[in-house]
Formats: sequence, structure tokens, C-alpha cells
Amino acid sequence: MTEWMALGYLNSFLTRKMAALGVADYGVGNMRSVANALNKIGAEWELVNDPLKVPQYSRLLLPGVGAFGPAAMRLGETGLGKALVLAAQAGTPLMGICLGMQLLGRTSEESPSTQGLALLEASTVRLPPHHSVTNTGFRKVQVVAAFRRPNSSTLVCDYYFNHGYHFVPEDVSVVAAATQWAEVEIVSAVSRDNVMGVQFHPEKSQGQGLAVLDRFARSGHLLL
Amino acid sequence: MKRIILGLLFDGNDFYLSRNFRLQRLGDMSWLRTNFQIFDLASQVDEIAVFHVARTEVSPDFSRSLAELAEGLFVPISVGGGIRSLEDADSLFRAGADRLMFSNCLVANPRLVNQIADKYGRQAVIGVINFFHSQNDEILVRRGSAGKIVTEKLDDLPLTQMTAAVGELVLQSVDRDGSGQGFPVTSLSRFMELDSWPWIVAGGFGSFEHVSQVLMDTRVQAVLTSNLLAFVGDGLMRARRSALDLGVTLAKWELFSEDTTDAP
Repeated sequence: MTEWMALGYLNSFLTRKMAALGVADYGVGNMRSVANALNKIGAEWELVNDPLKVPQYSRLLLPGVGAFGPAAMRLGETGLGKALVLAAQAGTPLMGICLGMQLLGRTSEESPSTQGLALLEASTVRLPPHHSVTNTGFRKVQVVAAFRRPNSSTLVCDYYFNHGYHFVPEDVSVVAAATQWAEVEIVSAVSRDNVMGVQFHPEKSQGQGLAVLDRFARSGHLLL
Repeated sequence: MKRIILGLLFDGNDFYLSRNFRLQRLGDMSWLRTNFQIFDLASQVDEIAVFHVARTEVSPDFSRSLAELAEGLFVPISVGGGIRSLEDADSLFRAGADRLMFSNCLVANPRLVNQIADKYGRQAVIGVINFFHSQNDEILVRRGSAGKIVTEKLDDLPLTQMTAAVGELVLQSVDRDGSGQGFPVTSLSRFMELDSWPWIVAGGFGSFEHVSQVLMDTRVQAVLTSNLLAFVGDGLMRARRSALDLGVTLAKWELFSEDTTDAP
């Protein structure tokens, strides 16, 4: 990192707005759906495409619709990837959505020559052969007790998935939720300290999805 | 888990009904909001599919209208029709589309379909096959739009190549489109070459029983209906309940309420 960038980061931390949620806008995928959802829940949020502004936010969202390679390259080209890593290392809650969760890991079979943010020790691999080449639709998500929302009577909730690759962490203790797909159990949510991700699309999962975003926006926690 | 998808035929200004692919204007966005409570309807379905029926390429105006429509929809949105370039696709994704649907391009411009799959992933691409029966009961496939319609025998199409870059497949009955007579389930056996696909079936749904009965078919993953008049009010919710009663697995969801989000 250059000196001016370092000074920019320092200044950004000093002028940090504690209530705002920053949504990483790296020019790939469907930012508008996340924006619509955040507007619906009344969150205070902004799109952030300037890496120097990333430290200003008290929570960060990394959405993603698209392929791993182009998205990882855009994160690199824009400088947002490095900025997100630094913010996460400084303790800012960061949540990746779908491809955004996959980008938290190191690599993906979808684009073997590109690297993820490596905030979690994980790789993304193709879904095993099945009747379908993609996991599309609402699926039941089995939530690990620590990530269960308060007052919930069930550990299972339906969320919308649409992906062809899935996230495989090296350390299973980061798994916050899992989903049965065909004959295998895939990881549908992960969390380690302030870094978390969901393979499903909360912004597309009707009321319970909006509630996940609302809880993250308000508390910085992953509760399903 | 199976799905019920609501189709909207939209030219960027007005919404339409279709009968055998002939369009009948219903009204504009405010009309749809007032008369069909579109955002209430959306809370009854798993997905929305928007068919761009202007018979031109996607325009910035259409993308703006799509963005306006998407503001109040918290379910996945698929968009098809008039996508001629990667820039059109980018514009639609920016406007709120989650997936794009292709029919003519599967044959006429597979390079574009591949480009979009490379950039957005195969899960973001849906193939649409519009089929009908000939007088001697052959299955014919229709593609293209007014003035440039092409009809081919199903058996003559390179189905494997056509679907190499798509994540799901819509089988749409032209014969039954808008008829309210039900989807021709018996036709599905003619698509055995594509039987490894999760099929979305469309065309003919006129009652909640039609929807629930077809969802019982193990080959069918989702039902798509654009017959707004048949499902006005709580018609889609009744279809959902009927399917659940028959043992079909469908998602259950809550409406969002700030009072019940339980943030610590």
C-alpha cells in the first residue's frame, strides 16, 4: 500500500461514521437488489466504490452475483478487495452474500487462476453431479445453535439459493448453517469473529431474508 | 423444494396478457399496482419472471422501468427478451435482474449466451424452449419474434449444445399459452433428451388445481404462469396451499416486520 493510501485509511478511521453500512460496489452483479432490501428495512447505508472510504463504515456488505474470476479481478483492480480485508482485520463486521461469501475464501474451481480475499481458509468447488447443475430455489437451512435468532422456535428456515459452486472451509468450526442439496450437505453460512457469509440471497428470501439483513445492519451479527 | 413463478409480460410501459403468444394490453405500472397489488402477489410466489415483449432490443427506458418494478420485490427476478449484447445483460443485472432468459439466442447467438454465463455464472442463465404440436403431433419449437419467427422440429435441434451454458430450462407450451386449459404434461415425455434438467413448465395454467397437479410431477421443478387474470387476488396463495396439501414441498416464509427482527 502506498503512503497516501495509508494516510487515507488513517484519516478514514478517524472520521468513521459508526452507524452506516457500506455496500461494496465493484461493478459486478446485482447491487440494486441489495439496495432495495436495505431501503425496505430502513437501514442507513451507502454504496462504496472508493477503497479509501471503506474504513468509514461500521458494517460492510460484499454482495455478489456472477462468476468468481471476474468478480475477484474487479475487487483487485478497484482496490476494494484490499480495503475490505484491512477493514475486516481491524474488526469491522463484514458479510459476504452468495458469490460474496465465496470471495471470502482463497480459491474457486470456477476460476482457478484468480485468488479470493483469503479472510477464511476455504475453497469453492463445483457442486457434485446431480439432476441439476445449479442449486436454485428456496432450501431449508439448518442453523447452528449459536447463530439462531432469539425467540425462534425452529433451527430451520427457508432461504433462496442460486449457485453452481459451493464453499468448503478447512475449519468446520466456522460453519454457521448447512443445507442438504441432493446427497450432500453444503455450507450455507459461515462466521468467524467479525467475518461472515451466507451462500443464499437474503435480499431475495422474502421476509425472513430481509430480517437477516436487518439484524446484521443493526448489530453486525449473523443471526438466521 | 419446488417453486411457483409469476410471469409478467412487460414492454417497459405496459403489462400484457398473452394468448398463443398474441398480446393483449392490460395497463401500466400504476394500473398493475392498483388492480393486481403486484407487491402482494409477489409475496405469494418464489420468483418473478419478466418477459420483455416490446420486440426491440432492451432499451435504457426498459431497464429503468425494470428497476422501478424491482424496488418492491424481494424475490428473484428473471428477465428475458430483447437481450442482444453483453451490455444489455449488464444493464438488466444493474436494474435488478438476477437471471436472464434466452430462447432465440440459444440457437442464433450461443456466443452471447456463453459470454453471459462466463461473466455471471451459469446459474444466472435460463434457456426457454417454446414448443407446440403440429397437426401430425410432432413437437415443433418456435423462436424469434414477430416478422422473424422460425419454427423447427424438436428432433432437429442440437439440444445439448443449445443448453450447454444454461442453469435451468423453461418448457413453454405455445398451444396452451393463455388458454387456461392446463399445461400439457403428456408432452414432457418428448423432451427426454433434456431429462437431466430441472424443468420449469409454462403455458396453460388457469386454476390453482392446474398448478398443484403439475407440481406433483417428479420431472417438474417449477411452474410459471403469466395468467394474471386467473390468479388475481389470492389465487397464487390458493395454488400454494393446494400444492402443500398434496404433499408438494414448497418454501414457507414470513413477512418482514421491524418489530420481529430480534436484533440483539
